Amino acid sequence: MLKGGYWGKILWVDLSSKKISEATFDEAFARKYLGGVGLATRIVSEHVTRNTNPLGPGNVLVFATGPYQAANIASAGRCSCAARAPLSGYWGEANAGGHIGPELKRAGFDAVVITGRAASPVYLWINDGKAEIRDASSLWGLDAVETTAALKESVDAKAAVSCIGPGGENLVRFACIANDNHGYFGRGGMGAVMGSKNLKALVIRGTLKPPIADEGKLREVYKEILARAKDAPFTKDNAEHGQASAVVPREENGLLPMKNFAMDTWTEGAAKIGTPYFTEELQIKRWPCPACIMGCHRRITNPKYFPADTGGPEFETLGMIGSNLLIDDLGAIVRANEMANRYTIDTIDLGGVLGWAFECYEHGLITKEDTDGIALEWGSGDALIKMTEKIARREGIGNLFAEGLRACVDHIPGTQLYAQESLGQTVGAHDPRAFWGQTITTIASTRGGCHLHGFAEAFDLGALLPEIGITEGTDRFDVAKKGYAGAIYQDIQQFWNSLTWCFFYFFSGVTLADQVNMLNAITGWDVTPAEAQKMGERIVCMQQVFNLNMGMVPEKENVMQERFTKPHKEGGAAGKVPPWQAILQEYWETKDWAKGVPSKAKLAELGLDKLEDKKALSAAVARDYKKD
Amino acid sequence: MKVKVKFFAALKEVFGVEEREVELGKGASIKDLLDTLCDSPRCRQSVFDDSGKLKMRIQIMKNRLPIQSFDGISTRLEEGDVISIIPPMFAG
Ligand code: SF4
Repeated sequence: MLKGGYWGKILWVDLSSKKISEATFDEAFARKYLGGVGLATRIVSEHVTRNTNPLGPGNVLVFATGPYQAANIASAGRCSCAARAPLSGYWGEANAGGHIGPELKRAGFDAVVITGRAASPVYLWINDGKAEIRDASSLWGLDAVETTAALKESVDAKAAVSCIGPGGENLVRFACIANDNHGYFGRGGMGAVMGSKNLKALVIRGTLKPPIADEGKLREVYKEILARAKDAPFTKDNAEHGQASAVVPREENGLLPMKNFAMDTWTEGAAKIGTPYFTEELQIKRWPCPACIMGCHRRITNPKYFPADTGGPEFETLGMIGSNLLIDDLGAIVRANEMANRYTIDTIDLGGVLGWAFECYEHGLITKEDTDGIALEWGSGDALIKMTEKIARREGIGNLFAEGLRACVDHIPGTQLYAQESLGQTVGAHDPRAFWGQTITTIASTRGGCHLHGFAEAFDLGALLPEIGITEGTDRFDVAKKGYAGAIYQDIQQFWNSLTWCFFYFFSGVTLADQVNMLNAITGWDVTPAEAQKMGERIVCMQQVFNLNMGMVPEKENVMQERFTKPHKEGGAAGKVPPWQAILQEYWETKDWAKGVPSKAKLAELGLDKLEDKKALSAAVARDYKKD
Repeated sequence: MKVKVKFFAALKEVFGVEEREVELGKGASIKDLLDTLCDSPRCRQSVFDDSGKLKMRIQIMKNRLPIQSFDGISTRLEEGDVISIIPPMFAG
């Protein structure tokens, strides 16, 4: 019996048949798949086959909470979203802040699964154990800010609204989903999956109290953790300066992407987009996710930049559409970020695609004739803004860019060097030459190019996991243990994304042991840190098997991008190139994946031995829960 | 000889300045420079661990190049060198 943290209920909505049902699960299932991304991985793996079109009715879109959303704790204003990714065709997942996670839990569900395709635009209204498919024809075409305002006004001002704008409607393959105009399910094209289902929004309101196994214990444990986290230097620094404070130091240490990762330094430019200029010029205020004590998100209050109804640009955005394109015009970055947020397109892939396009333009492979007269010149904020519009609307060459980097390279063969991607998804604003711990997440993340799917940069920076034996990191340019750390941090990150929880708290001194203690108080379990790592390992392994089932060949895909195989000549990472083959080999050995394929023994150890056979997997999952 | 030191992010607050010049003896190393700079327990704790070793998480550049490309913390300094000291940054 589930004692706390879960209702044991999944809301199941088939938009084609308009059938709404519930699936249930028990404690053994919960302890195996945990929630959030783990739960979503289980569901998507069961229902998606190699023949499933990511933008067809057969794709399965999951929004999943974890046990933390049952408790009112800082960092728990999060949620996971997953499906087969339209950008890569492989595993797709995003984790974001916003009210959707806590509201969904309070509405009486651990997750909502959406299948099929509505005949005309709809939104889903979920309220205290009930759900209803409603007409959204009048909302189609509105941007995320307009949609959110209209739904809050017409349905419930206190409801969480997660929606798409024109980018999602137009099936931009890197469209995101906006949560209350504050957090974004950014990666993989989850917004395009929503668009393909004619689903404009989820509107969720809950007033039920989720069960907690031991409320007293939770408050006792949490009180001590919270006091420690509040006092941590990182908490104060993150609250005071936000993510933009990383731009200038990372230009200095070589991590920042500059000119599509081809340039070594950009000192004056970085100073024009990072703090303190960023904070002063934009008159920045904190804008935390629900219940967060840090609030790294930023709100712009300088009227000169209005309307700025969404969050200010964060580090990844400043890196990918700022320094990556050599744009030092903060106003242009703010404007493009606001457009991307309203239109719901991911700013990391926006920067990746435009990095490729600007480099093609520099080499004469794209000309003004292709771009309706727009000069795609490095540093052009005007080009950034106009191209953001064209991509969201799929106008002109924007229609090509909206297909993502692999389609772009197919269109202009021989330009792979300009495409910084893995599985077709742009890598984040973290140059792996500067922190070799980033190698695995850059080349072997199950969701494709990523800076977060195992943030082993933390290992290089001394944020450690002593509970599971990681008591020492290694220098950022030392190959030792980088593959091992790549594997373990990936497991832990998926554990976090299943709780689900904001990983920034890890840097505020909230340890793996703390997380497990809170989990146990919420659920009544006796999970150890070692079991937590195994939970994460199981989830990553399932995603890898999913990708193998979708046709991925790891030896072909898990390869360092050509640009990162040559060193910078100057700057904080000059002369350094990670020996990625050795790191990848150590990663696979740690995972017990021969050339990226999990061994039978590993699958058995993780309780996934039926995964080798797709049919057997479906049968196994079907036994785990029953649908009405 | 004189060298210039640039502090980044939280270290600006810890050391109370964004950049400063430091007078050192001929042949001084980065370790000597750090010992000179760390004139309070708080400064020292921000750069060195309990055993007196440089914290791995601190990134140091000499004239914009990583000190790992020279002799690490034993790297010799010369007149006019610019040393950058960066604490761990976790934005992502
Ligand atoms: S630290 Fe930032 S991302 Fe994390 S919960 Fe707080 S505001 Fe959201």
